[in-house]
Amino acid sequence: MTESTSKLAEILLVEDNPADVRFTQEVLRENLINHVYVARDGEEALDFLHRRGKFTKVPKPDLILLDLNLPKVDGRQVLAEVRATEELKSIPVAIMTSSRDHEDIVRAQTMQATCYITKPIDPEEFLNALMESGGKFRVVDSRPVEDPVG
Amino acid sequence: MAPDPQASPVTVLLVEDDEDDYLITRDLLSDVEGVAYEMTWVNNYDQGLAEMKRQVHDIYLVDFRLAGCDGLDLIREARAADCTGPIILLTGQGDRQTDIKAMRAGASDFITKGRIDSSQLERSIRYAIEQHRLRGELQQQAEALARSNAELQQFAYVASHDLQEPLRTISSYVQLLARRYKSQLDDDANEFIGFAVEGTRRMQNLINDLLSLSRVGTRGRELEPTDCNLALDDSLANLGAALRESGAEITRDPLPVVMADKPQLTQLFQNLVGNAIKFQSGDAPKIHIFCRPNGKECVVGVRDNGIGIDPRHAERIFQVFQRLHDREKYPGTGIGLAICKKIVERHGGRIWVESQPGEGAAFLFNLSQAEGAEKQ
Repeated sequence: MTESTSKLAEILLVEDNPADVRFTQEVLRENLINHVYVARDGEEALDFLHRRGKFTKVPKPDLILLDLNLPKVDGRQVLAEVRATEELKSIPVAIMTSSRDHEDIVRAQTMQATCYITKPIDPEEFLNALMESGGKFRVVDSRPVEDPVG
Repeated sequence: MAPDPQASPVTVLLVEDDEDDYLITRDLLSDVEGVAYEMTWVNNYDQGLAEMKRQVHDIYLVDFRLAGCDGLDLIREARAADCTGPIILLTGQGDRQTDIKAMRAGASDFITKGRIDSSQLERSIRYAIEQHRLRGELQQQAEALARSNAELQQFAYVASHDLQEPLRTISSYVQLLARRYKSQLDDDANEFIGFAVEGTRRMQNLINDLLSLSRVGTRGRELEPTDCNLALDDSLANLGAALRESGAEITRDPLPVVMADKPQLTQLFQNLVGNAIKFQSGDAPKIHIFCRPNGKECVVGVRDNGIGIDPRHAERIFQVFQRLHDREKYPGTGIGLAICKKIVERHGGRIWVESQPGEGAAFLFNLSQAEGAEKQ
Protein backbone atom coordinates (compact mmCIF):
# COMPACT_ATOMS: atom_id res chain seq x y z
CA MET A 1 0.00 0.00 0.00
CA THR A 2 1.28 3.45 -0.85
CA GLU A 3 0.82 6.81 0.78
CA SER A 4 -1.52 8.05 -1.91
CA THR A 5 -4.22 5.55 -1.00
CA SER A 6 -3.82 5.74 2.75
CA LYS A 7 -7.11 7.55 3.15
CA LEU A 8 -9.01 4.65 1.63
CA ALA A 9 -7.02 1.89 3.18
CA GLU A 10 -9.73 -0.56 4.22
CA ILE A 11 -12.55 -1.42 1.89
CA LEU A 12 -15.42 -3.75 2.61
CA LEU A 13 -16.75 -5.26 -0.60
CA VAL A 14 -20.22 -6.77 -0.22
CA GLU A 15 -20.88 -8.86 -3.30
CA ASP A 16 -22.19 -12.37 -3.89
CA ASN A 17 -21.12 -12.92 -7.48
CA PRO A 18 -17.62 -14.49 -7.42
CA ALA A 19 -16.73 -13.08 -10.85
CA ASP A 20 -17.61 -9.57 -9.70
CA VAL A 21 -15.70 -10.03 -6.43
CA ARG A 22 -12.55 -11.08 -8.21
CA PHE A 23 -12.84 -8.44 -10.89
CA THR A 24 -13.35 -5.65 -8.36
CA GLN A 25 -10.38 -6.92 -6.32
CA GLU A 26 -8.24 -7.00 -9.46
CA VAL A 27 -9.03 -3.48 -10.55
CA LEU A 28 -8.60 -2.14 -7.03
CA ARG A 29 -5.25 -3.90 -6.89
CA GLU A 30 -4.22 -2.27 -10.15
CA ASN A 31 -4.80 0.98 -8.30
CA LEU A 32 -2.72 -0.19 -5.35
CA ILE A 33 -5.64 -0.81 -3.05
CA ASN A 34 -4.98 -4.12 -1.39
CA HIS A 35 -7.00 -4.07 1.77
CA VAL A 36 -10.24 -5.39 0.48
CA TYR A 37 -12.43 -7.47 2.75
CA VAL A 38 -15.20 -9.44 1.13
CA ALA A 39 -18.62 -10.24 2.52
CA ARG A 40 -20.67 -12.65 0.37
CA ASP A 41 -24.07 -11.65 1.69
CA GLY A 42 -25.79 -8.96 3.72
CA GLU A 43 -25.70 -10.91 6.96
CA GLU A 44 -21.94 -11.35 6.75
CA ALA A 45 -21.58 -7.66 5.92
CA LEU A 46 -23.49 -6.66 9.05
CA ASP A 47 -21.49 -9.10 11.19
CA PHE A 48 -18.32 -7.54 9.80
CA LEU A 49 -19.49 -4.01 10.46
CA HIS A 50 -20.64 -4.81 13.99
CA ARG A 51 -17.50 -6.93 14.56
CA ARG A 52 -19.52 -9.94 15.59
CA GLY A 53 -18.86 -13.68 15.33
CA LYS A 54 -15.70 -14.40 13.36
CA PHE A 55 -15.19 -10.71 12.66
CA THR A 56 -14.20 -9.49 16.11
CA LYS A 57 -10.76 -8.35 15.03
CA VAL A 58 -11.52 -6.58 11.78
CA PRO A 59 -11.04 -2.84 11.27
CA LYS A 60 -13.82 -0.37 10.68
CA PRO A 61 -13.79 0.05 6.90
CA ASP A 62 -13.13 3.41 5.27
CA LEU A 63 -15.47 2.58 2.44
CA ILE A 64 -18.21 0.07 1.74
CA LEU A 65 -18.79 -1.15 -1.81
CA LEU A 66 -22.29 -2.55 -1.74
CA ASP A 67 -24.16 -4.68 -4.23
CA LEU A 68 -27.92 -4.34 -3.81
CA ASN A 69 -29.18 -7.82 -4.62
CA LEU A 70 -27.67 -10.02 -1.97
CA PRO A 71 -28.63 -13.30 -0.34
CA LYS A 72 -30.04 -13.35 3.22
CA VAL A 73 -30.09 -9.61 3.96
CA ASP A 74 -30.31 -7.42 0.91
CA GLY A 75 -28.13 -4.40 0.22
CA ARG A 76 -30.85 -1.87 0.96
CA GLN A 77 -31.23 -3.25 4.48
CA VAL A 78 -27.48 -3.21 5.01
CA LEU A 79 -27.36 0.43 3.98
CA ALA A 80 -30.32 1.31 6.18
CA GLU A 81 -28.66 -0.30 9.18
CA VAL A 82 -25.32 1.44 8.51
CA ARG A 83 -27.07 4.79 8.36
CA ALA A 84 -29.04 4.07 11.53
CA THR A 85 -26.00 3.04 13.58
CA GLU A 86 -24.09 5.84 15.31
CA GLU A 87 -20.55 4.40 14.91
CA LEU A 88 -21.12 3.37 11.29
CA LYS A 89 -23.20 6.10 9.77
CA SER A 90 -20.26 8.23 8.63
CA ILE A 91 -18.78 5.47 6.45
CA PRO A 92 -19.15 6.28 2.76
CA VAL A 93 -21.24 3.65 0.98
CA ALA A 94 -20.93 3.22 -2.77
CA ILE A 95 -23.75 1.25 -4.32
CA MET A 96 -22.54 -0.99 -7.13
CA THR A 97 -25.14 -2.07 -9.60
CA SER A 98 -25.69 -2.97 -13.20
CA SER A 99 -28.85 -0.86 -13.35
CA ARG A 100 -28.78 2.56 -14.90
CA ASP A 101 -32.47 3.05 -14.23
CA HIS A 102 -33.33 6.57 -13.18
CA GLU A 103 -35.64 5.19 -10.49
CA ASP A 104 -32.89 3.04 -8.98
CA ILE A 105 -30.54 6.02 -8.85
CA VAL A 106 -33.14 8.18 -7.13
CA ARG A 107 -33.85 5.38 -4.67
CA ALA A 108 -30.14 5.04 -3.86
CA GLN A 109 -30.01 8.75 -3.17
CA THR A 110 -33.02 8.56 -0.87
CA MET A 111 -31.34 5.73 1.00
CA GLN A 112 -28.40 8.04 1.70
CA ALA A 113 -25.86 6.23 -0.42
CA THR A 114 -22.70 8.28 -0.94
CA CYS A 115 -22.17 7.24 -4.49
CA TYR A 116 -23.82 5.17 -7.17
CA ILE A 117 -21.53 3.30 -9.51
CA THR A 118 -22.34 1.05 -12.39
CA LYS A 119 -20.54 -2.21 -12.92
CA PRO A 120 -17.93 -2.94 -14.11
CA ILE A 121 -16.29 -0.47 -11.79
CA ASP A 122 -13.68 1.98 -12.95
CA PRO A 123 -11.75 2.54 -9.72
CA GLU A 124 -10.04 5.75 -10.65
CA GLU A 125 -13.27 7.36 -11.61
CA PHE A 126 -15.16 6.36 -8.53
CA LEU A 127 -12.34 7.10 -6.06
CA ASN A 128 -12.06 10.58 -7.54
CA ALA A 129 -15.80 11.02 -7.28
CA LEU A 130 -15.78 9.93 -3.65
CA MET A 131 -12.97 12.32 -2.78
CA GLU A 132 -14.65 15.24 -4.50
CA SER A 133 -18.16 14.57 -3.43
CA GLY A 134 -17.45 15.18 0.24
CA GLY A 135 -20.52 13.25 1.24
CA LYS A 136 -22.71 14.58 -1.54
CA PHE A 137 -24.36 11.99 -3.72
CA ARG A 138 -22.66 11.14 -7.00
CA VAL A 139 -23.47 8.90 -9.92
CA VAL A 140 -20.46 7.28 -11.50
CA ASP A 141 -21.18 5.63 -14.76
CA SER A 142 -18.13 3.80 -15.96
CA ARG A 143 -19.69 2.60 -19.17
CA PRO A 144 -19.30 4.89 -22.16
CA VAL A 145 -22.42 6.88 -22.92
CA GLU A 146 -23.92 5.26 -25.96
CA ASP A 147 -25.77 6.76 -28.80
CA PRO A 148 -29.35 7.00 -27.60
CA VAL A 149 -30.70 6.04 -30.98
CA GLY A 150 -30.59 2.77 -32.87
CA MET B 1 -91.00 -28.81 -37.61
CA ALA B 2 -90.94 -30.81 -34.39
CA PRO B 3 -88.41 -29.97 -31.65
CA ASP B 4 -85.09 -31.66 -32.19
CA PRO B 5 -85.13 -34.47 -29.63
CA GLN B 6 -81.35 -34.36 -29.44
CA ALA B 7 -81.14 -30.67 -28.59
CA SER B 8 -81.45 -29.74 -24.95
CA PRO B 9 -84.29 -27.31 -24.26
CA VAL B 10 -83.63 -23.60 -24.00
CA THR B 11 -84.00 -22.63 -20.34
CA VAL B 12 -85.91 -19.40 -19.81
CA LEU B 13 -86.38 -17.34 -16.65
CA LEU B 14 -89.44 -15.09 -16.78
CA VAL B 15 -89.65 -12.28 -14.22
CA GLU B 16 -93.27 -11.12 -14.54
CA ASP B 17 -95.73 -9.97 -11.84
CA ASP B 18 -98.87 -10.45 -13.96
CA GLU B 19 -100.12 -14.03 -14.19
CA ASP B 20 -102.05 -13.39 -17.41
CA ASP B 21 -98.90 -12.12 -19.08
CA TYR B 22 -97.03 -15.18 -17.82
CA LEU B 23 -99.62 -17.43 -19.43
CA ILE B 24 -99.44 -15.50 -22.69
CA THR B 25 -95.64 -15.76 -22.79
CA ARG B 26 -95.77 -19.45 -21.93
CA ASP B 27 -98.25 -20.06 -24.76
CA LEU B 28 -96.17 -18.05 -27.23
CA LEU B 29 -93.12 -20.15 -26.43
CA SER B 30 -94.97 -23.43 -26.61
CA ASP B 31 -96.18 -22.44 -30.09
CA VAL B 32 -92.62 -22.08 -31.35
CA GLU B 33 -91.78 -24.79 -33.84
CA GLY B 34 -88.49 -26.65 -33.75
CA VAL B 35 -87.33 -25.43 -30.35
CA ALA B 36 -88.23 -26.66 -26.86
CA TYR B 37 -88.28 -24.16 -23.99
CA GLU B 38 -88.16 -24.91 -20.31
CA MET B 39 -89.51 -21.88 -18.49
CA THR B 40 -89.18 -20.87 -14.84
CA TRP B 41 -91.53 -18.15 -13.67
CA VAL B 42 -90.92 -15.80 -10.74
CA ASN B 43 -93.30 -12.96 -10.00
CA ASN B 44 -91.25 -10.39 -8.11
CA TYR B 45 -88.06 -8.34 -8.20
CA ASP B 46 -86.17 -10.03 -5.36
CA GLN B 47 -86.79 -13.57 -6.54
CA GLY B 48 -85.92 -12.47 -10.04
CA LEU B 49 -82.60 -11.05 -8.90
CA ALA B 50 -81.79 -14.15 -6.84
CA GLU B 51 -82.50 -16.43 -9.84
CA MET B 52 -80.55 -14.21 -12.23
CA LYS B 53 -77.52 -14.25 -9.96
CA ARG B 54 -77.46 -18.05 -10.16
CA GLN B 55 -76.77 -17.68 -13.88
CA VAL B 56 -78.26 -21.03 -14.82
CA HIS B 57 -80.71 -19.93 -17.51
CA ASP B 58 -80.04 -19.45 -21.20
CA ILE B 59 -82.19 -16.33 -21.41
CA TYR B 60 -83.90 -13.88 -19.04
CA LEU B 61 -87.21 -12.23 -19.89
CA VAL B 62 -87.81 -9.28 -17.55
CA ASP B 63 -91.01 -7.29 -17.27
CA PHE B 64 -90.65 -3.50 -17.22
CA ARG B 65 -93.25 -2.90 -14.46
CA LEU B 66 -92.79 -5.24 -11.51
CA ALA B 67 -95.36 -4.35 -8.85
CA GLY B 68 -93.89 -1.03 -7.88
CA CYS B 69 -90.39 -1.94 -8.95
CA ASP B 70 -88.59 -1.12 -12.16
CA GLY B 71 -87.41 -3.88 -14.52
CA LEU B 72 -84.59 -1.57 -15.65
CA ASP B 73 -83.29 -1.42 -12.08
CA LEU B 74 -83.41 -5.20 -11.95
CA ILE B 75 -81.35 -5.42 -15.14
CA ARG B 76 -78.83 -2.90 -13.79
CA GLU B 77 -78.56 -4.67 -10.46
CA ALA B 78 -78.15 -8.06 -12.12
CA ARG B 79 -75.44 -6.68 -14.43
CA ALA B 80 -73.68 -5.06 -11.48
CA ALA B 81 -73.74 -8.46 -9.78
CA ASP B 82 -71.89 -9.92 -12.78
CA CYS B 83 -74.90 -11.65 -14.28
CA THR B 84 -73.71 -11.71 -17.87
CA GLY B 85 -76.53 -13.74 -19.48
CA PRO B 86 -78.73 -12.32 -22.24
CA ILE B 87 -81.73 -10.29 -20.99
CA ILE B 88 -84.81 -9.20 -22.95
CA LEU B 89 -87.02 -6.47 -21.48
CA LEU B 90 -90.78 -6.99 -21.92
CA THR B 91 -93.05 -3.99 -21.73
CA GLY B 92 -96.74 -3.21 -22.11
CA GLN B 93 -96.19 -0.05 -24.10
CA GLY B 94 -93.18 0.35 -26.31
CA ASP B 95 -91.52 3.71 -26.51
CA ARG B 96 -88.13 4.62 -27.88
CA GLN B 97 -86.94 6.23 -24.64
CA THR B 98 -87.48 3.04 -22.61
CA ASP B 99 -85.95 1.00 -25.42
CA ILE B 100 -82.76 3.07 -25.28
CA LYS B 101 -82.68 2.96 -21.48
CA ALA B 102 -83.04 -0.82 -21.60
CA MET B 103 -80.19 -1.08 -24.06
CA ARG B 104 -77.96 1.08 -21.86
CA ALA B 105 -78.89 -0.92 -18.77
CA GLY B 106 -77.55 -3.98 -20.58
CA ALA B 107 -80.58 -5.58 -22.20
CA SER B 108 -80.07 -7.47 -25.44
CA ASP B 109 -83.51 -6.61 -26.79
CA PHE B 110 -86.75 -4.82 -26.00
CA ILE B 111 -90.13 -6.35 -26.81
CA THR B 112 -93.62 -4.88 -26.61
CA LYS B 113 -96.00 -7.44 -25.20
CA GLY B 114 -99.14 -8.06 -27.20
CA ARG B 115 -97.49 -6.93 -30.43
CA ILE B 116 -95.40 -9.99 -31.11
CA ASP B 117 -96.14 -13.50 -32.18
CA SER B 118 -94.32 -16.65 -31.22
CA SER B 119 -91.92 -16.60 -34.17
CA GLN B 120 -90.85 -13.03 -33.37
CA LEU B 121 -90.27 -13.96 -29.74
CA GLU B 122 -88.29 -17.02 -30.78
CA ARG B 123 -86.21 -14.88 -33.12
CA SER B 124 -85.49 -12.29 -30.43
CA ILE B 125 -84.41 -15.01 -27.98
CA ARG B 126 -82.26 -16.75 -30.56
CA TYR B 127 -80.43 -13.55 -31.52
CA ALA B 128 -79.93 -12.55 -27.88
CA ILE B 129 -78.43 -15.96 -27.02
CA GLU B 130 -76.19 -15.99 -30.10
CA GLN B 131 -74.92 -12.46 -29.49
CA HIS B 132 -74.23 -13.38 -25.90
CA ARG B 133 -72.24 -16.40 -27.01
CA LEU B 134 -70.21 -14.34 -29.50
CA ARG B 135 -69.54 -11.66 -26.91
CA GLY B 136 -68.29 -14.33 -24.53
CA GLU B 137 -65.96 -15.73 -27.19
CA LEU B 138 -64.62 -12.27 -27.99
CA GLN B 139 -64.04 -11.54 -24.36
CA GLN B 140 -62.15 -14.79 -23.90
CA GLN B 141 -59.99 -13.98 -26.90
CA ALA B 142 -59.34 -10.47 -25.60
CA GLU B 143 -58.36 -11.85 -22.20
CA ALA B 144 -56.09 -14.46 -23.76
CA LEU B 145 -54.44 -11.76 -25.88
CA ALA B 146 -53.95 -9.44 -22.92
CA ARG B 147 -52.43 -12.32 -20.96
CA SER B 148 -50.03 -13.35 -23.68
CA ASN B 149 -49.09 -9.72 -24.27
CA ALA B 150 -48.29 -9.20 -20.61
CA GLU B 151 -46.27 -12.42 -20.55
CA LEU B 152 -44.30 -11.39 -23.63
CA GLN B 153 -43.51 -7.99 -22.19
CA GLN B 154 -42.41 -9.56 -18.96
CA PHE B 155 -40.30 -12.09 -20.86
CA ALA B 156 -38.59 -9.39 -22.92
CA TYR B 157 -37.79 -7.47 -19.77
CA VAL B 158 -36.50 -10.39 -17.73
CA ALA B 159 -34.55 -11.87 -20.64
CA SER B 160 -32.77 -8.65 -21.47
CA HIS B 161 -32.19 -7.82 -17.84
CA ASP B 162 -30.71 -11.20 -16.97
CA LEU B 163 -28.61 -11.29 -20.14
CA GLN B 164 -26.72 -8.26 -18.90
CA GLU B 165 -24.99 -9.98 -16.01
CA PRO B 166 -23.06 -12.71 -17.82
CA LEU B 167 -22.31 -10.35 -20.67
CA ARG B 168 -20.80 -7.84 -18.27
CA THR B 169 -18.62 -10.56 -16.79
CA ILE B 170 -17.33 -11.60 -20.22
CA SER B 171 -16.63 -8.05 -21.27
CA SER B 172 -14.93 -7.07 -17.99
CA TYR B 173 -12.59 -10.05 -18.04
CA VAL B 174 -11.72 -9.78 -21.72
CA GLN B 175 -10.78 -6.16 -21.09
CA LEU B 176 -8.79 -7.12 -18.02
CA LEU B 177 -6.91 -9.70 -20.10
CA ALA B 178 -6.19 -7.10 -22.73
CA ARG B 179 -4.99 -4.59 -20.18
CA ARG B 180 -2.79 -6.90 -18.24
CA TYR B 181 -1.32 -9.16 -20.91
CA LYS B 182 -1.19 -6.90 -23.93
CA SER B 183 2.61 -6.78 -23.92
CA GLN B 184 2.88 -10.57 -23.78
CA LEU B 185 0.53 -11.22 -26.69
CA ASP B 186 1.12 -10.90 -30.40
CA ASP B 187 -0.78 -8.64 -32.80
CA ASP B 188 -3.23 -11.36 -33.80
CA ALA B 189 -4.18 -12.05 -30.19
CA ASN B 190 -4.71 -8.38 -29.53
CA GLU B 191 -6.86 -8.05 -32.63
CA PHE B 192 -8.98 -11.04 -31.56
CA ILE B 193 -9.48 -9.52 -28.14
CA GLY B 194 -10.50 -6.27 -29.85
CA PHE B 195 -13.24 -8.10 -31.79
CA ALA B 196 -14.46 -9.81 -28.61
CA VAL B 197 -14.64 -6.48 -26.77
CA GLU B 198 -16.42 -4.82 -29.66
CA GLY B 199 -18.90 -7.70 -29.82
CA THR B 200 -19.78 -7.42 -26.15
CA ARG B 201 -20.10 -3.64 -26.47
CA ARG B 202 -22.58 -4.01 -29.34
CA MET B 203 -24.55 -6.63 -27.47
CA GLN B 204 -24.65 -4.40 -24.39
CA ASN B 205 -26.11 -1.60 -26.53
CA LEU B 206 -28.68 -3.97 -27.98
CA ILE B 207 -29.73 -5.16 -24.55
CA ASN B 208 -29.94 -1.60 -23.21
CA ASP B 209 -32.13 -0.55 -26.11
CA LEU B 210 -34.32 -3.65 -25.85
CA LEU B 211 -34.77 -2.88 -22.17
CA SER B 212 -35.75 0.70 -23.00
CA LEU B 213 -38.21 -0.62 -25.56
CA SER B 214 -39.81 -3.02 -23.11
CA ARG B 215 -39.90 -0.38 -20.37
CA VAL B 216 -42.10 1.85 -22.54
CA GLY B 217 -44.89 -0.66 -21.96
CA THR B 218 -44.07 -1.93 -18.48
CA ARG B 219 -42.73 1.09 -16.63
CA GLY B 220 -44.90 3.85 -18.09
CA ARG B 221 -46.41 6.51 -15.85
CA GLU B 222 -49.87 8.06 -16.01
CA LEU B 223 -50.28 10.72 -18.66
CA GLU B 224 -50.50 14.18 -17.15
CA PRO B 225 -50.27 17.75 -18.41
CA THR B 226 -46.64 18.10 -19.46
CA ASP B 227 -44.83 21.08 -20.93
CA CYS B 228 -43.19 19.89 -24.16
CA ASN B 229 -40.67 22.73 -23.86
CA LEU B 230 -39.31 21.29 -20.62
CA ALA B 231 -39.15 17.75 -22.02
CA LEU B 232 -37.25 19.11 -25.03
CA ASP B 233 -34.89 21.06 -22.73
CA ASP B 234 -34.11 17.86 -20.82
CA SER B 235 -33.50 15.89 -23.99
CA LEU B 236 -31.13 18.56 -25.37
CA ALA B 237 -29.27 18.61 -22.06
CA ASN B 238 -28.90 14.81 -22.23
CA LEU B 239 -27.55 15.08 -25.76
CA GLY B 240 -25.11 17.79 -24.64
CA ALA B 241 -21.80 16.36 -25.83
CA ALA B 242 -23.14 14.98 -29.11
CA LEU B 243 -24.82 18.31 -29.85
CA ARG B 244 -21.67 20.31 -29.21
CA GLU B 245 -19.41 17.97 -31.17
CA SER B 246 -21.68 18.05 -34.20
CA GLY B 247 -21.92 21.85 -34.17
CA ALA B 248 -25.67 21.46 -34.67
CA GLU B 249 -27.81 24.55 -34.86
CA ILE B 250 -31.13 24.08 -33.07
CA THR B 251 -34.15 26.30 -33.60
CA ARG B 252 -37.48 25.72 -31.92
CA ASP B 253 -41.09 26.89 -31.90
CA PRO B 254 -42.85 27.40 -28.59
CA LEU B 255 -44.38 24.00 -27.83
CA PRO B 256 -47.69 23.27 -26.10
CA VAL B 257 -48.64 21.56 -22.87
CA VAL B 258 -49.70 18.03 -23.77
CA MET B 259 -50.95 14.93 -21.97
CA ALA B 260 -47.79 12.89 -21.59
CA ASP B 261 -45.46 10.77 -19.51
CA LYS B 262 -42.59 13.25 -19.21
CA PRO B 263 -39.60 10.86 -19.12
CA GLN B 264 -40.99 9.14 -22.22
CA LEU B 265 -41.62 12.43 -24.00
CA THR B 266 -38.03 13.40 -23.19
CA GLN B 267 -36.78 10.12 -24.59
CA LEU B 268 -38.86 10.65 -27.72
CA PHE B 269 -37.30 14.07 -28.38
CA GLN B 270 -33.88 12.74 -27.49
CA ASN B 271 -34.10 9.88 -29.98
CA LEU B 272 -35.42 12.09 -32.77
CA VAL B 273 -32.93 14.94 -32.23
CA GLY B 274 -30.18 12.32 -31.73
CA ASN B 275 -31.05 10.83 -35.13
CA ALA B 276 -31.07 14.28 -36.71
CA ILE B 277 -27.52 14.77 -35.45
CA LYS B 278 -26.38 11.31 -36.47
CA PHE B 279 -27.74 11.16 -40.00
CA GLN B 280 -26.10 14.34 -41.22
CA SER B 281 -25.15 14.95 -44.81
CA GLY B 282 -21.76 16.55 -44.24
CA ASP B 283 -22.91 20.07 -43.43
CA ALA B 284 -23.40 21.03 -39.80
CA PRO B 285 -26.84 19.77 -38.78
CA LYS B 286 -29.65 22.34 -38.78
CA ILE B 287 -32.47 21.02 -36.63
CA HIS B 288 -35.84 22.69 -36.19
CA ILE B 289 -38.45 21.56 -33.67
CA PHE B 290 -41.88 22.79 -34.66
CA CYS B 291 -45.50 22.52 -33.67
CA ARG B 292 -48.80 22.75 -35.53
CA PRO B 293 -51.73 23.07 -33.11
CA ASN B 294 -54.84 21.42 -34.46
CA GLY B 295 -57.80 21.81 -32.10
CA LYS B 296 -57.44 19.42 -29.19
CA GLU B 297 -54.46 17.83 -30.83
CA CYS B 298 -51.15 19.11 -32.00
CA VAL B 299 -48.56 17.82 -34.38
CA VAL B 300 -44.99 18.17 -33.14
CA GLY B 301 -42.08 17.58 -35.47
CA VAL B 302 -38.30 17.46 -35.70
CA ARG B 303 -36.89 18.55 -39.07
CA ASP B 304 -33.27 18.18 -40.15
CA ASN B 305 -31.06 18.86 -43.16
CA GLY B 306 -29.53 15.38 -43.12
CA ILE B 307 -29.33 12.57 -45.63
CA GLY B 308 -33.09 11.99 -45.75
CA ILE B 309 -34.98 8.75 -46.27
CA ASP B 310 -36.48 7.19 -49.34
CA PRO B 311 -40.29 7.24 -48.84
CA ARG B 312 -40.44 3.53 -49.63
CA HIS B 313 -38.71 2.89 -46.30
CA ALA B 314 -41.06 5.21 -44.41
CA GLU B 315 -42.80 2.34 -42.60
CA ARG B 316 -39.88 -0.02 -42.20
CA ILE B 317 -37.68 2.34 -40.21
CA PHE B 318 -40.07 2.20 -37.25
CA GLN B 319 -39.70 -1.57 -36.87
CA VAL B 320 -37.28 -3.16 -34.41
CA PHE B 321 -33.77 -3.97 -35.77
CA GLN B 322 -34.42 -2.30 -39.11
CA ARG B 323 -31.39 -0.43 -40.33
CA LEU B 324 -30.98 1.26 -43.69
CA HIS B 325 -27.27 2.00 -43.43
CA ASP B 326 -24.13 0.11 -42.61
CA ARG B 327 -23.05 0.02 -39.02
CA GLU B 328 -19.62 1.52 -39.72
CA LYS B 329 -21.00 4.77 -41.06
CA TYR B 330 -24.01 5.22 -38.80
CA PRO B 331 -23.68 3.15 -35.62
CA GLY B 332 -26.76 2.07 -33.76
CA THR B 333 -28.93 -0.87 -32.83
CA GLY B 334 -31.98 -0.23 -35.00
CA ILE B 335 -34.27 0.11 -32.01
CA GLY B 336 -34.43 3.88 -31.49
CA LEU B 337 -37.32 4.62 -33.82
CA ALA B 338 -39.21 1.53 -32.62
CA ILE B 339 -38.99 3.04 -29.13
CA CYS B 340 -40.31 6.34 -30.53
CA LYS B 341 -43.23 4.56 -32.16
CA LYS B 342 -44.08 2.66 -29.01
CA ILE B 343 -43.96 5.84 -26.92
CA VAL B 344 -46.19 7.79 -29.31
CA GLU B 345 -48.67 4.92 -29.59
CA ARG B 346 -48.81 4.59 -25.83
CA HIS B 347 -49.85 8.25 -25.84
CA GLY B 348 -52.62 7.47 -28.34
CA GLY B 349 -50.84 9.16 -31.23
CA ARG B 350 -49.12 8.30 -34.49
CA ILE B 351 -45.60 8.95 -35.72
CA TRP B 352 -44.51 9.29 -39.33
CA VAL B 353 -41.74 10.64 -41.51
CA GLU B 354 -41.84 13.11 -44.39
CA SER B 355 -38.67 12.99 -46.42
CA GLN B 356 -36.85 12.57 -49.71
CA PRO B 357 -33.30 11.24 -50.05
CA GLY B 358 -30.82 14.11 -49.82
CA GLU B 359 -33.42 16.61 -48.69
CA GLY B 360 -33.47 16.12 -44.97
CA ALA B 361 -36.24 14.48 -42.99
CA ALA B 362 -39.06 15.59 -40.73
CA PHE B 363 -40.34 13.19 -38.09
CA LEU B 364 -43.81 14.16 -36.92
CA PHE B 365 -46.10 12.88 -34.20
CA ASN B 366 -49.42 13.95 -32.80
CA LEU B 367 -50.34 14.27 -29.14
CA SER B 368 -53.40 15.44 -27.22
CA GLN B 369 -53.13 18.92 -25.79
CA ALA B 370 -53.79 19.23 -22.08
CA GLU B 371 -57.24 20.50 -21.10
CA GLY B 372 -57.42 24.28 -21.38
CA ALA B 373 -54.21 24.47 -23.36
CA GLU B 374 -55.76 24.21 -26.84
CA LYS B 375 -55.12 27.78 -27.89
CA GLN B 376 -51.48 27.98 -27.02
